[in-house]
Amino acid sequence: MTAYIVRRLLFIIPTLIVISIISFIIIRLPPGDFLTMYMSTLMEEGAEINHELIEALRRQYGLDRPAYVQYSRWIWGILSRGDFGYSFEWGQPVRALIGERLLLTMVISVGSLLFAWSIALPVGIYSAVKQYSLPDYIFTFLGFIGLATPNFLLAIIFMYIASQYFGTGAGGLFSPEYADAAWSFGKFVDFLKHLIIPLIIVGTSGTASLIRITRANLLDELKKPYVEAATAKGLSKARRVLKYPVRVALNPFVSSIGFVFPQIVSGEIIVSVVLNLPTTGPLLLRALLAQDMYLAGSFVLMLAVMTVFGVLLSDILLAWLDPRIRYD
Amino acid sequence: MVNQEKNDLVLDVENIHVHFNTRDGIVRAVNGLNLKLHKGETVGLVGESGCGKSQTARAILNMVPSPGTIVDGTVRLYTKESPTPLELTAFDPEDKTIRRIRGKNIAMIFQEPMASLSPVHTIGNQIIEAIRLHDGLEPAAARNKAADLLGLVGIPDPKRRLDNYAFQLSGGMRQRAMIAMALSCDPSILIADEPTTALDVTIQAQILQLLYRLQNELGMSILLITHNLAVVAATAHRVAVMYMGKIVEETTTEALFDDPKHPYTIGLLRSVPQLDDDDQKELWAIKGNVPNPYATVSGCPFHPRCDKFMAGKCDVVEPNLAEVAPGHKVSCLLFEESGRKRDAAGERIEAREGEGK
Ligand SMILES: Nc1ncnc2c1ncn2[C@@H]1O[C@H](COP(=O)(O)OP(=O)(O)O)[C@@H](O)[C@H]1O
Ligand SMILES: [Mg+2]
Repeated sequence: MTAYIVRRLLFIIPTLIVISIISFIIIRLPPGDFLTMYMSTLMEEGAEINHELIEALRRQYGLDRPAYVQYSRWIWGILSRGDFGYSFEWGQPVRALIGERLLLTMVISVGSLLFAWSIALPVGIYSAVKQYSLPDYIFTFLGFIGLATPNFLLAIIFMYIASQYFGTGAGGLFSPEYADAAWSFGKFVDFLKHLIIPLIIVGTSGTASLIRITRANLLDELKKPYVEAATAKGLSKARRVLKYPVRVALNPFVSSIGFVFPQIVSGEIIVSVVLNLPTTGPLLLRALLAQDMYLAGSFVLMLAVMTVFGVLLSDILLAWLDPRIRYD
Repeated sequence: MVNQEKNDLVLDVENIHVHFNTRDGIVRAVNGLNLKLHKGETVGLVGESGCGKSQTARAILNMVPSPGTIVDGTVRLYTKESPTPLELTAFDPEDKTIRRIRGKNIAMIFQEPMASLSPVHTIGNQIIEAIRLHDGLEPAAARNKAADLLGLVGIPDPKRRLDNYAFQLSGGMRQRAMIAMALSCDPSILIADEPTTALDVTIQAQILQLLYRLQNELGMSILLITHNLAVVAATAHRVAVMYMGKIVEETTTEALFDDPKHPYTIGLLRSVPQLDDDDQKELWAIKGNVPNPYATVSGCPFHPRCDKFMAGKCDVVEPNLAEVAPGHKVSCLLFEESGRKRDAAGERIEAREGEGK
């Protein structure tokens, strides 16, 4: 087990290097840079353009240097000083901008995953054990609707319902009186209240796909001879279903940390824009549009790193759950 | 020879019918099967694959898998505890009483030990679970007993093996572990469904020897299900030959090999390759195909493949399993003592069919 974890940890290093390079390339893919964007905005507004100033800025931020130099400087700054670079658009260090938002993103992502799990496991088990029953059909129907409905549409529907019938806005993560206040118990409770709708919206598609996966897996497992052997041993139905096949069907749940996570993170971006949540999503979108390259690059990098560690976590849990992987 | 007096009866399977209601029709997997098991004896249940052997075993434990159901018949279990037999077929498959019988009075081992053991639990975990379920032992005591059982079935270093997973054991060791699990509560009956089919030939012999030894030591009754006549020859006291969900011949193992009566049994015996046969002789095969599971055959189910087929008789009259010699039962019109009565019935049916034309 230890050897397995060490091997997986070592494997992460090249993965992270490749990811950081790819993030950087993606950020630089659109033609031009922040300053050309900036100039065209100025021109649209009919303002004078001070070419000397632009050139000076370009030198100052190293935009005139080759890409690999820019990349090395950026990575070196992150590794040596925790400095993610500078946001041109906001005129602030990236780290100051990202901090709390990244935390909120993680809260929403992890929360959505827990939400998805807590619904999908019992529903999936029920659907498999009572295959083709009325509730199974209902869950299947709801599940497909959940899968097929885009998150942003769900968000809009929820906002409409919230404002129309409950007279409250569904947007934001804090009530106005708490938005800029320091953290307190009141703010925390307020935060939890606001969290429910985003969790449901972001978690829905993950829940739906996890239900399908659990049901299909469990149906396969229920037909295996070891279940029959457990019956012949005299175990009750509940016990032989829960102890054996569910245990095996749990594997996709654990792997879901790896693959539902990116899905949830990208879903979160759109939902946060629609719901106006102070998470990383809206900021990332703006940074990408404005070619605010260090800000956007840092976001992409952080999200990728989170995903990589999500996968690592799921692999370790899987090995812990399944001896066939552990003793490989 | 094993005593076969009435009071020795431990299991009585009477007229069992198992049907699978599928979209393509009804499969009569077991179709009126009768079987008796006495104390301390091994009965071999033999037949081609698909003839309903496994479903018979499941019907005995009242655990026929959906969409199958036991539509008719009774299974009676005779125990020391109670003077009257327990009717296993009378219970709901999830009933507490029948669950206590499974694993405690009647244990079962399966064809594929690898697939029949949980891939994610240790051998010990599964054996201890069975012990604690029925005997209510404390975990430590149950663990000791589990180790003893592994020792009993010939697994070396049993204490350490308890912590192994199925995939860490060889095929033979896995089947031994399954047997240990089956023995965990001293069952009076062991049903072994093709226990050696998935194993290498040398291992097969070891497992059969193990079952033989355990039976002598523990005095249980064994229902040994197999499609391999060589397996029953080595281990069974009596053999029941099954065809399309029914017993067609039942007798002692010696009688079956020395004096088989049913044409199907004769065919089965002739299709076993023999070393002392002269090389030129071709391997014999029963003509025709293994029957379509959805088919219902009129008269004797074997008549389409039988080389003693009597037209107008075998395809019309259904033979009964009847004693043709002491302890030797056959279901074939060639041997029906009350042939005349049967013939008369046959003629009646023929006559009716004639009218219809
Ligand atoms: N789940 C099922 N659905 C439909 N038919 C089945 C099912 N399980 C078994 N059968 C049928 O029952 C018959 C007997 O099966 P089985 O008892 O497993 O045969 P054996 O053990 O002698 O090889 C076969 O013809 C098979 O097609
Ligand atoms: Mg079988």
